[in-house]
Order: sequence, then structure tokens, then C-alpha cells
Amino acid sequence: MEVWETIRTEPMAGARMLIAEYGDRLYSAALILTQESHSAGDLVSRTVRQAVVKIDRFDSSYSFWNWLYTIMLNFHRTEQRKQCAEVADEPDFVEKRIDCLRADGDTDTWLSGVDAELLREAVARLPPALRTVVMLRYFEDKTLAEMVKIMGVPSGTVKCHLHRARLRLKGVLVELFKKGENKR
Amino acid sequence: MNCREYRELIDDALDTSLNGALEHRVKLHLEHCTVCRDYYEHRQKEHVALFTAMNAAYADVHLQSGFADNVIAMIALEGARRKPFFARVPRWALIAASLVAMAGFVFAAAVGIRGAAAANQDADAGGEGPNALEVTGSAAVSSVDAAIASSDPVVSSVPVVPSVDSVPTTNYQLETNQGATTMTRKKAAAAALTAAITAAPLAAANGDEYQFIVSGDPIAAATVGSSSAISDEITLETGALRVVGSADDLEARSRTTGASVAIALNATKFRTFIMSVR
Repeated sequence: MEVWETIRTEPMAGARMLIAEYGDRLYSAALILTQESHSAGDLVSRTVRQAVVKIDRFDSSYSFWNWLYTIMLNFHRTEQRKQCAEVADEPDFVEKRIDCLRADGDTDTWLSGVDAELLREAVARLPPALRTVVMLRYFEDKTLAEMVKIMGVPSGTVKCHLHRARLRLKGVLVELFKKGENKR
Repeated sequence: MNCREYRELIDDALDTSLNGALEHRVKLHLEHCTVCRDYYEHRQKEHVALFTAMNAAYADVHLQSGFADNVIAMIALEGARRKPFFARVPRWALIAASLVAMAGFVFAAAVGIRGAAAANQDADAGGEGPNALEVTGSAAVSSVDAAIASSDPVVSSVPVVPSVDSVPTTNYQLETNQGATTMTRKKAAAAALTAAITAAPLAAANGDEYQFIVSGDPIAAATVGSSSAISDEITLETGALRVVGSADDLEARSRTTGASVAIALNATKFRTFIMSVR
């Protein structure tokens, strides 16, 4: 029986099954979004509870995993608004990074040098809105259409965020990578 | 269409948002444009590298043990709080209670014994008046003390389901890794204070009043050394008051001496004291 079917018939057993199957993955995603273990745990807890309570709203023709992400991102967005989190938007930053990347002829070098710690640091430096698309695209390998559905925003917004996130992430990674190289 | 426009389509193609005709057009262009083909291959490689690295970076992340129990308990608690009183009680319990009541009346009628209503009395009814109902009394407090004496009280709780005969009262439920305990607000505050003292030893003397402050807002007060003589300056919101501790947010401040201590918590642990009005 699918997880969502179990939740409908036996909510508690279904919740336990959901956590067993998806819990760690959800937690990883929540960590990427919140960058803090307490908040990530809270976010997963709220997501699971909401999924159980609102299971009747789930359309089985849709991906259950994507539905969970929709719930999680809604909570995350609400939490961000409460904290009045502002995206640290630096219009010049992206342009500087593009120039940096153009000047850097060997981008393959930094790609091969990306390690876990470097990447976590780079993700942590992204603004919250861009972390969301990075999580969905590069952690979950979601397509644009899936991201539009999960995030509930127009495709143009997703594309824009994705483009900025990609450039910004690369920029930060190159910067961190070069710093690491200089230290050696 | 120039190469710059084709590169935008390549980005879309990699994000699988191109329709069949456009995708075909891009493929045709890539067959004879080496610059765009290099761009396409680089973007593909980049995506694979980032995807691999992201998953590797967060591969060893796991929810802590007890997380599922905690969530299940919260679901049960929230579900109970949402429903009217009798809707919370399973039907079998209602039927069983009715049968017991009927048997009691029949027995009383048969032997002429008064006080059939005694069969309906809640054995756990406390003696502190209408605002108190202690489920297990001192046993509950001692189990909580044991829990909070441990170095990291991670929440993993068992929901308390009210019995058919219990009277709705103002209770507080303190949840720790040893289970959930319903107690008066005085004891809940005392338990929280004891936890604070245990987590970060305070130079506390009996009689000192301590105030719990979360993110600058005072939320509860308790007196050291006494579980009954607690000040009445506990302000709890209706519903669940959730105190999530962190080294920066949670402190206990003495109202007697002014001394305060930040409660240092392990950042990797999920540490929550939940006091809820039932």
C-alpha cells in the first residue's frame, strides 16, 4: 500500500511510514532551506503533521513526494515572512560573477574541486529564495514544470530564480574554491 | 535565431521545459554549431556535478531517533484538541462506560447501595481544586525529574488521552524523552526550572524566583526548591506554548538576585519543552 493510502486508512501508522520512507530526505531538504537543525526539524515535523491532517486534499494523480515539498515550502515561506527575511539582493553581484566566470577560462577546475564542505558553505551563503530553487533543482533534480507546481509561482519567476541561483552558486563556489587554493 | 537565443533554449531544454518542436530545433542547431554544443555539454556536466555534490553533501543527514514518536504524539494531541470533548473519546470507550454505568445502577438497585455515581469518579482526580488534575501525581513528577536530569531532554512523548470520566480542566502537559506528563502549571514551571538548572547549573538558592525568557519575552516563572509555592506570574498563551531553546534564546533570570544564565543546548539535538493548555 502506498504511504498516502496508509495515511488515509490508518493515520498514525501512515505517519510513521512516511517518516521512515521520506523523513531523512525531507530533513536534508529542510536543512538546505533553513540552514539550521532545529528549524529544519520543526519544518519536517510540521510538514508531516500537515500531510496527515490534510491527506484528503492529496490528488493521487500527482506525485506524493512533490506534494510534501509543496507543503514544506509553504510553511517555509510563511516562516520567512514572519521573520521578515529579506533576500540579500545584490544586483551587481551576479554581473561581477559573470565577468569572473568569463575571465576564468578553466571552469572545469572548480567543478572537479567542489567538495561537500565547500558546497554546504556556498549554499549557506545564498539568499533564502535562491536556496529553494537550488534545493529543488540540484538536490531533487526537479524539472522546471515540477518546480512551478511545487512552488506555486509562475514559470518565469522560477526560471529567473534558477538562473540567478545558478550563477550565484557558481560564483560563490569559484570564490571559495580559489580561497581554498590560495591557502594551500 | 542567433546563438545567444539558442543558449537560452538550451537552458530550458536542460530544465526540460521545451516543447517537441523547439527541442528538435535546438538539436538541429547543436549538430552544426560547436560553440553552442560546447555550451550544452558544459551545462550538462555542470548540472551532473552539482547534483552529485549536493546529494553527497547532505548524504549523512538523518533525523534523530525519537522524532517519529514525537510527531505521532503531536498529531494525536492536535487531533484531540481539534475535536469536541466527546468526539475525542473512542466509541468503544463510550459504550463500555455506558455498560459500566448501567451495571452500577442495576447493582445498586439490587442491593440498595447508594452512590452509584461513585463508579464514575475519576480515580485520578487531584486535590488542588477545579484547576488541577494530576494524572500520576508524584510518580509523574519523579519521572519528569529523571528525564530532565539527563543531559539532553529530547522530546519524545506519548499523548495523554483523557478518560471518559475526567473533567475538562486547565492542565499542562510537559513532554520530555521519558514521556508525557500532565501536571498543574506550578509543577510544569517547576519542572522547566529544574531542567534549566540541570542544563546549566545556576547559583540558585531555595526561594529564588526564576523567570524564563525566550527571545526577550518573559514566559514563565518558578521558584527554586519548591514545587508548590510558585509565583502566579506565568503567562501562557491559550493552546500550546512552545519553548524552543537555543544558546541565544533561552535564559533563566533570577528575580531575586538578577543573575541570569543562558541555557546552552546541543545544537544538533531537538530540544523542546511543550506546555499546552488542555
